[in-house]
Parts: sequence; C-alpha cells; structure tokens
Amino acid sequence: MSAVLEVRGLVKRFGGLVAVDSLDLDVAAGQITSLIGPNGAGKTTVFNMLSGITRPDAGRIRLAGADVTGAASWRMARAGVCRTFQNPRLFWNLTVLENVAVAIQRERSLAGELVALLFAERRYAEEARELLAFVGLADRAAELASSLPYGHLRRLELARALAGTAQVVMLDEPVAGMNPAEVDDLMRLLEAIRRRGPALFLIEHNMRVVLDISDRVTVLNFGRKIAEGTPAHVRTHPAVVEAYLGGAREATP
Amino acid sequence: MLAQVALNGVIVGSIYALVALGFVVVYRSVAMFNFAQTEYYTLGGMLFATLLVVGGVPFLVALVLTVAVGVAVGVLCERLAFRRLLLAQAQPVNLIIASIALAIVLRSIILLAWGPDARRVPSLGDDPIRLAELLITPQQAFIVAATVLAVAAVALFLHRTRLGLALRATASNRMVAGLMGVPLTSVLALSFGLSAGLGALGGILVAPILLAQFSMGQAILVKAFAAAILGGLASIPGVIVGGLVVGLAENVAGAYLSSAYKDVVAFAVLLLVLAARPAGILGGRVDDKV
Amino acid sequence: MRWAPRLLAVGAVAAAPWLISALGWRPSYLLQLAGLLPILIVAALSETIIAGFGGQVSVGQAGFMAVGAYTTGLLAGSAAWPWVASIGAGVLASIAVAALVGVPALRLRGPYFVMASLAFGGIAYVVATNWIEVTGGPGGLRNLAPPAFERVGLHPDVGVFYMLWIAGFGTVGLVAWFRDTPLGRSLLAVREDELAAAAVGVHVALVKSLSFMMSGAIAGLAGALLPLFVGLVTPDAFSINQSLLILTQVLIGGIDRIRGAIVGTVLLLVVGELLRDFAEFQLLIYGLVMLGVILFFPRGLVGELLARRPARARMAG
Repeated sequence: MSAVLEVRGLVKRFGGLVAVDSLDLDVAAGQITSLIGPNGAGKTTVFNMLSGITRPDAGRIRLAGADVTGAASWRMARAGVCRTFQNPRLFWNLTVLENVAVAIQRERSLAGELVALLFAERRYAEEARELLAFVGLADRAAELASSLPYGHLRRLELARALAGTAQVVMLDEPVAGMNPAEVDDLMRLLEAIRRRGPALFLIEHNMRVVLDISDRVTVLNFGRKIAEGTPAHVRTHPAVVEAYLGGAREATP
Repeated sequence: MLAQVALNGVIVGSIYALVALGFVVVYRSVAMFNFAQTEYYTLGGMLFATLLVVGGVPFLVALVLTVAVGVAVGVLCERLAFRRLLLAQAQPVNLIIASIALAIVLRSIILLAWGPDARRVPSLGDDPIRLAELLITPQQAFIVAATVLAVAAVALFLHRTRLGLALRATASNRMVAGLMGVPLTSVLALSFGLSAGLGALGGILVAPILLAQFSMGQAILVKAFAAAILGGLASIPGVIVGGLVVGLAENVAGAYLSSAYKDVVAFAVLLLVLAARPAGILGGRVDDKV
Repeated sequence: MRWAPRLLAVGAVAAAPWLISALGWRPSYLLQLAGLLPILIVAALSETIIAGFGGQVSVGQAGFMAVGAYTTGLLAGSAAWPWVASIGAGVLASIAVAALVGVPALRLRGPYFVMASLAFGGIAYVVATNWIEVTGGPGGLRNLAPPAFERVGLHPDVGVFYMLWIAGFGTVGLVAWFRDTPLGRSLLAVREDELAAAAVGVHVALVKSLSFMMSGAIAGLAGALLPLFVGLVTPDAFSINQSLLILTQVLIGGIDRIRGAIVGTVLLLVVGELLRDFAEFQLLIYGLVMLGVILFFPRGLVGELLARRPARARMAG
C-alpha cells in the first residue's frame, strides 16, 4: 500500500494570509482518502495546488515518485491527477459523450499528440462510451451536458475525471446538493472506482459519507493538519471536535 | 528637431489619452470594451465642424453642444444596444460583437449624413507661438489645456463623488450600485454617456488639426486602445501616460521613418504591449473561483 | 440520409455553367457571382473556426487573405508557377504567418484578441498598400492569366469556376472533419471553459495554436483563390470592411456552425448584390443586421433552427 501521491511541507500564501501551512499528506492507491475541515480551512486550495491550478509557495508534491510540484494543470491531468469542481465545470454545449472524450489525454510526445489529435477519434469514442456505461450515463451519451439533471452532472464529471490515465481522482464535494438516494448511488460508485485501482481523494462536508467510505481521513483547520487517521480515530479526536464546535462554544457567554 | 517632434507627440497623445479615458470609464464600470467608442470621436469632429462652419455657431457654444449631443448618443446606444445584454450578463463574446456592430452602424450613419469628404474646421489659431525653442499654436495649447481639464474633472468625479464611486464599484459587483441607492441602469447610462462625451471632446479638439472625416474614428481605434491598455486600465494617470507614449512613439517614428508606416508603429506598439502582458487582464488569473 | 443534400449541391454546382448559359440572362455576371461564392464561403469558414469553434472573435481575417493573395499572385504572375502550386504556396505562407502571429496571440482573451486581430489586419493592409516593390502598391498585381484548359476542352471561366468550387467543397469537408476530431473537440472545450479543459488534460496552448494556424490557412486559401478568380490582386480587397463582412456572414448564419457560414454567406452575397445601387446603405444594413442578430438571435439563423430540434449525436452516439 504505497502512496501514489506524496505531499511534503506544502505552503500557500495569499497576500498576508497563510492558506495552507506546511501540509504533509499521503494518498494511497486503491484507497479512499478524505480531506475535511471547517469552511475556509484551505481544502480547495490544497486541491488547486495538487491539480496545477495554483502554484505552491513551498513544499513538494510527488506522484508515483516523480516530482510534479508546480506543474501546469494539463500536465498534472496527463500524469494522472484528475479532479472535479465544487460547482460542476462541464462543457455545456458539448454532448455527454464529447465531455468525456475530451478528457482522454495521455500522449507524452508531440508527435504522438499530433497524431492523436487528428486521428484518434474512434478509439476515444469507444473509451468514452465505456466510461459512461461505468457511471450509468450510457443512455444519455448524445444529449448536451446542459440538459442533464443535477445528479447526473456530478456523475458526468466523475466519468470525465476517470478518463485518461487517472491515478488520483480528486473530488471536490461530490455529494453536495444530492438527496440521500443519490448519495448512496454515488457512494457505491466510489467504491467501484476504488476497486478499479485509482487513489480517491475527497473533500467532503457530509460526515456520513466521510465516515462510511473513507479509509483515511485528514482534518485541516486554518491551513494546518490537526488530525489524521481512520474515520473512527478522527471522529473522537479532541482537536477535531474543537475545530468544528469551538466557534459555538465561544459564542455562549 | 527632436523636441518639436516630441511636442507634437504630446499633443496628439493627449487626444489619444482623452479617447482612451472613455474606454477606461466603461471598462471600470462594466468590464467591457466598447469598440464604438471612437465613433463618438468621429461624431464629435463632424458635428463640431458643421456647427462652426455651416451654423456659424460660436466656438464654445458649439463645443458644449457637441459634447452634449455626444453624451446623449452614448446614452442612447447603451439603452438600445448594450443594456439588454449587460443586464442579462451575456457572454463577453456577444458584448464584443454588439459593440462592433454598433460601431459599424454609427459609422455608416455618419457617412450617410455627412458624406465621405473631409471637412476643414477653423481652429483657434494656427500661428505658432515661441516657447523656448519650441513652436506651439494656440489650437495645440488648447488641446493640451482642455485635455488636462477634462481628465481632472473625470478624476474628481470618479474619486470624490458618490456617483463616481458607484460607477467604479459596479464592475466588480453589480449589486453595489443598487445598495448605494443608485439604480444599476443609471450607472450604465452614466458611464456610457460620460465615455461618449470624452470621445466627442477628443474629436472636437483634433478636428481643426487633422480634418474631420467619417473614417477618423476607425483610424484611431487601435491607437486609443493601445493607450488604454498601456496605462493599465486601472488608473487615470496610467491612461495619460499611455496616450503620451503612443503619441510620442508614433510621431518619432513618423519623423525618422516614412510617414506612411506611422500607423503601423501604433499597431506594433499595441501588439508589443499585448505580447508583454501576462495572460491578459480578465482571464487566466490564478485565483479564478474554482 | 445526410448524403442526399450534399450530392444535390455537388450536382447543382457541376451543372451550373450549363444551367446559367441555358437561362440566357446575364450569363457572365451570374457565373462570376457563382464563382465568388466559394471564395466567400472559404473565408467565412476561417472565422467559424476561430470565432465559432474557438470562441475568439477575429476582425483580421482579411490580413491572412492578403498574405495568401499576394503570395499566390506573385508566384503565378512574375514567377510563372503553375496555379495549383502557387495557391498551395499561398496557403503555406498564411500558415507561417499564423504561426508567427498566433503564438503571442494565444494568451489573449476576448477584446484583447479582437484588437490584436484588428492591428494585424491593419498592418497587412498598410503593407499591401505601401510596399510597392513587392505588392505593387494601390495598383496591385495585374494581368494574371488563368490556367489553360484547352486539354480538358473547357472555357477558362468555366475551368476556374470548377477549381474554385473544388476548393470550396474541399474546405467545407475539411472543416466538418476537423470539428469531429479530438483537436476540434478540444478547441470547443477550451471555448466552453478553458480552466476545466486544462484540468482534464487538454494542452490548451497547442490546441489554440493549431486551430489558429488552421483558421489562418483557410483565410489564406480564400485570398489565394482571388487572383485565380479575377486575375489581379489589389489592396482594397483586404480592408477592415472585408474582415467585418466575414464576421457578419458567420454571425447571421450561426457563428459555430458550418451550415451557418454557408447560409450567412449566401444571404449576404444576395443582399449585397440587390443593394449594389445603394452601396452607402450596405454597411448600415450589415451593422443593423449584426446588431439585431446578436441581440435577438445570438445563435444565428441556422443555430436557432437547430436549437429547436432535439440534439443529434455527433460522435455516432
């Protein structure tokens, strides 16, 4: 059970504010790791750094042993770090199938890239169809992304994140806005993904989900890791309880 | 001689700064570029020419009247062409196309109304006065003075009045204007009207020197834009600097290279500035909300 | 089912010269008009790629046309190259210029890109008008003889007509194919959401530059066909108005649709000819139409019609 993604001493500052403070983190293949913490704890910033959208100010990120710190977004994706967004960022005027097909990007050389860009149509279509079947959207392949109901949007984003050479799939609040039935569906899907092999890394506020399916939980507050371990361990950890309830206690006179 | 060329550059640069300020006012309030901005400049020049020459209207009256008409046309354009799109938060592409279309419409109306010929406009005086080693005509002095006054007035308005604050705040948050008690539609009308007025003033000032013609706006579009973004779009001093740089570069190049390629210099300045800017201004920022 | 209209179009074009002479009304005028159409369609398609698929409005396509036109005109004229080779070279020259200009232009968005394209078109026009030694200045390049068609037994006008239409159909086919390749799809994704596209692995810079080069190449082709068509190359064909006309064409039909480019071009050509005697009003009408379209039918005629039908699978879904 080696770590696919190793983070050491990750730091991000915005002006005078330290958003992420010396974070160490490991995400292992075939496991579901969750990142939790109160609002503003720096979770999305961590995601942004790991997916190449934001440059870390300090620290190292290693993917399967290779140093990918500060790599651009598209390079991270091709190396295998794929993510979804808090508010789904789909390609609204493309079909469901096209949305997934675009995400199939694995070429490493310019020559390979050029050939793929022009001629890999059929191959990509088949792969995309397979992924859609896996998330249960095969019957909607020809519809525009903009016509999907909300619950399906997340599934489409998930299919997109699985495309290509996904080694680490990062999901930003994957069950936000879903009803309990949809949440159960998604949890089963996440477990199915875990069986396929990639490492899953979640930001989530829904505690039932976090405690039910996570293998490991990391807790962030004010940009710092305050606890880490199995769900059971974290649930009763004093620092975690303090972080989530501390504000309310201060309010009472 | 270089100093004289530089002076000419400063004078023409003032005009660019004035028109560019119009770009910036609209940009600061609604985050869009109005490609029709320089057509108000043309309108100003043509109308001023007509009032002075055909109407025999006194200079200052003609100036005020023309600026007023410019403002009115600006407000009308906002109402007809942009309001619908702005209120609906239309895609930037659509706003761009709308303003290009508006520019075409305005230009062709001007062409239909005034014909293709250039018009001479009497100036405030073409006999150069000697200032140290340099020669400056009364008209040129007027241009500089009027520009300074206009820019100062706009700066005061934007930074010292409530309306001005509402104008500046609206770009980042549409709600703010309403919260301040100023309806959004008023802010829109105001910013487009103000920028049109500035454009028209530019046309009025330059007409006696460069002749008034239906194509004059198109000719300075790229230059005024270059001045605006050179100055950084954020500050009024920046706009002035931008205008002066473009005017100077153009005149210096025109004096030492062929004058036919003078325009190319302004275009090249624009392209260089654009090439040097990292990732544009609006998009590609790292703190884009994800 | 989709082949029927296409075969019909090809057949109509193939038979056109005979139909026109059979009609007996102003045959050379009609043939000229029918020959101009593919050139305009090709030019429009270049905008479809950059503005429609790529989401970057360009008002500088005429600049690429100029590059193609003058390169071809010079080679076919003073260097006496065969026409097809000259046109090919014109296209290559446009690709080279697009690569040069496109790389810095990649990072520009929205109005900045528009202005850069305006500046590019402006520079091309000024150079075309003033670089007399090469471009012949305002007079341009003249007396370019069309290819000899005796061996095939065709009148030169008809032969040129077919050459133009072959280029036209070829371009339509090329752009249609492009739309459904991973490159075309990636371009659309970049248009929809550049950040998300990068996040799924799209090499945004490469996709943009390749597409930009394609757009430039196609505009260059349109320009390169001009000397073949009219036997001369003059700068006034490459003014800003030409670029604006191209934008209007694709906008009316539907900026991101190939059929939109075709429909819009045909419409404007017809309207332009009908308004020939009212040239001053032409520009005003184009502007008003553009404004009306963007305010009320932003998807263009074809776009609006198609939007009312359920989405059809593109990738053989």
